[in-house]
Amino acid sequence: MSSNHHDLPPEDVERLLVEQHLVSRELLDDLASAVPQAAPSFRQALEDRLLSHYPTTIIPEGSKKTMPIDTMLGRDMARHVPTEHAPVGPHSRAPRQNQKFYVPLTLVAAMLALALVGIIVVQMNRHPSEPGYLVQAETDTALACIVREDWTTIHVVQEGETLAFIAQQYEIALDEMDEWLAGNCVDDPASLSVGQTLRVPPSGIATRTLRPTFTPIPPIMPIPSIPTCHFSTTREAVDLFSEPHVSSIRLASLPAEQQGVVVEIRQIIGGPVWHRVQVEITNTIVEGWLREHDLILLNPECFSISLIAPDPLLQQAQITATATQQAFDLTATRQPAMIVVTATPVQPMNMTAMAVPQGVLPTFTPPDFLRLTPSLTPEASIRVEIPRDYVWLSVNDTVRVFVHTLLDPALIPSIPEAWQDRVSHADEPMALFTDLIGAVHIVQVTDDVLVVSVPESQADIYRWIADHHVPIILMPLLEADQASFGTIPTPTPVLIRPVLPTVTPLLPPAIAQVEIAEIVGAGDLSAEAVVIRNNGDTIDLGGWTLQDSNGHRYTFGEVRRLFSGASLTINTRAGTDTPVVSYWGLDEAIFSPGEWVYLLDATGNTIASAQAGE
Amino acid sequence: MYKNLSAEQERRLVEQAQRDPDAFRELYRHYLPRVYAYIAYRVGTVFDTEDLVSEVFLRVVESLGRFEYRSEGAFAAWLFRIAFSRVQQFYREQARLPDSLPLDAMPDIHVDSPDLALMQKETFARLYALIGQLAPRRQEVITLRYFGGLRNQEIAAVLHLDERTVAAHLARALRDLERLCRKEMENEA
Repeated sequence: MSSNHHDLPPEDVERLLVEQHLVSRELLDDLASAVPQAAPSFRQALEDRLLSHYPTTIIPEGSKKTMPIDTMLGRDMARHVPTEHAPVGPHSRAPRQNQKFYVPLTLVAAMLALALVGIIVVQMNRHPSEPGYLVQAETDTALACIVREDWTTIHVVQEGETLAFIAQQYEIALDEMDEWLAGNCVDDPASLSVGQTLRVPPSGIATRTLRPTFTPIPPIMPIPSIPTCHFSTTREAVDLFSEPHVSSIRLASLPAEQQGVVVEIRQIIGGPVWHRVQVEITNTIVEGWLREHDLILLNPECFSISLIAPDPLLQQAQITATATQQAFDLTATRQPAMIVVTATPVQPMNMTAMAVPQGVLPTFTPPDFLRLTPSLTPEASIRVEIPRDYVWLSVNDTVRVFVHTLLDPALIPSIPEAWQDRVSHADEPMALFTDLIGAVHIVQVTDDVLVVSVPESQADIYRWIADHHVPIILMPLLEADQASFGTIPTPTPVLIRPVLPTVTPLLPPAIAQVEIAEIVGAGDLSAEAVVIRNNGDTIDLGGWTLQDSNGHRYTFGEVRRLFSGASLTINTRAGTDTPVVSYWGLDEAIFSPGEWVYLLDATGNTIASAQAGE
Repeated sequence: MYKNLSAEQERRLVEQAQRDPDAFRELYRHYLPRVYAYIAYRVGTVFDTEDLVSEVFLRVVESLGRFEYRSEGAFAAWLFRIAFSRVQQFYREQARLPDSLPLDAMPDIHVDSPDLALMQKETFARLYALIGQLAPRRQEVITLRYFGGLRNQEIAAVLHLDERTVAAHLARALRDLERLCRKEMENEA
């Protein structure tokens, strides 16, 4: 059972698909039979051939068991074959050629539903196989691999480059990293070395169908060995409640003599908050979106930031400043939150590039980390024991319990219906960060275990957590009105076990100064374009619109990231979007000199406007 | 969906099949559709599919005696490991894969009405093309899962991946497919 909770039953896939209105049930049913089926003649011929090859004896007769096959299969097979209502008799040898072949309804339907709407012309652009695919030999674990010789552009890895930067240079999108690495037979990005050559696909990778803008991926530094942590040094905290909309706060500049730090960030209250974190390490600036659960537990006493990047390559990225001087800008962009920063010197470490091999997620095999004991006390509560390994906290009367997972919600077996409304951000694919339970009472804290009591009415939540091995986070409970804390609560991170995200996080709305820099070529279809520039923080333009006064409207796609300092040109004419150029797709010019053009955000607020020039 | 044998049923059937041709026949009949569907989506043509399926099962009948049933799902994983390896070998042998498949080279799809037959083939072609656009790992995961009818745990064993990774690939593959489909619809619209 331990593993099945990751196994999304096809029914659930179906449910999700249907819920998302991708396909209708009728269509699902109609299309369910698109599974290739062996021709009966082939099936029979092969069967005969196999039986003629069947060795006379494989196992000594003595050990032969006499369970008739059909008895073993009888019930299931009967269910399996709807047309055969009666269980098959023990000695029946009737061929089951009509055995209905049940289809993975959901996937097929999902694809077909969408596919069938369109034309029937079939073009096989690409075979599922490609050179460069990592080929695994059958018995050994060594990987044989074919380098993509057809990628003729060669890049020589320079000192200081990261995979991400190289990829960006060649416009290799995040979701193509996989193939790019595979095409270079790079199994472990950490193995890249200066001077190594990488082949680069001509213009992105052939499979590209949607070209997402590229996210700069911060350099990744390894933790060569788990550093010794000392939790005794610098601590600074900033109360962001007083300035909820502040876009940037410099929290700490660390003394030069410090050799390294581990940064801890905690969100105490409020919904999931994205912090934009900029870590300056000598000349390299690392930045990314952080949430408090991106903390990675290095050892029971040491936490560090993990930058979350929308790609598996970075899922385990550890950002640990190792240069002699660091500055941390922690920027809360959305909601009030308190950030506690703990800077802890660590041993100097080498900065070398490390990345997590594609697709490798950290092993997280929680034991039964919640032990539930029905309580005999009058108030009908249950005791929850949480092993020390999973919890690190100071004693506090109450704790706040978060059910916390970075797994794709789609991979989590159904959340009990009663809690659905407690699941915040359930629509956010990356994380369920749920404040399921208000307060629980700590009964006992020992070296090994934290015992809390939970009202029986909430017990099912814990059972569910236990059943599904959902990581949990415990934090000291602070009342919201205590939030103007002048004092830092005992900084006792209670952390738990991050499970890495599997999907691209949504960018939070950022405070950015986006402007319409220019409207060029008004009236001339071939030249007409609007140039948008972002003078602020990286922002997601998804859902934003560009409008003029004559009712023309251009809507930015779902995810359209505009980096700090970057420009985006929106041409009126049709064309293929690139990260820096978009096409409205119109066949006549729409702007006239002097006309106003407006940029609206996803909620319809006008962000910028400009007048078309000559 | 595919009906998996229960672990116990499977174990007994496999053990029986190691010494009883009739049991082997059952085993074959149980797994043939899944192996066939998986391979069909990996190689595209009936011709290659039948070839590979035959080889896989011949291999199975030869080595079944050495198979040890160690844990739940072990047999499916073992069987599909053989199939997977054979498919990989197929790719290595193919210098250049055809850019398109003629419809009559495609495998048959189960249909109740002959009128639908052509459409079903096109459906297969379409799916096949879409799947072909996924990242290689995801192609494997998705075909093993939905056409091979394997559980994530078994896929993990076949591909020598962590089960969690399989789940992640699966989720992404589904999303990718959805995106590709939409893209395709948009292009056609």
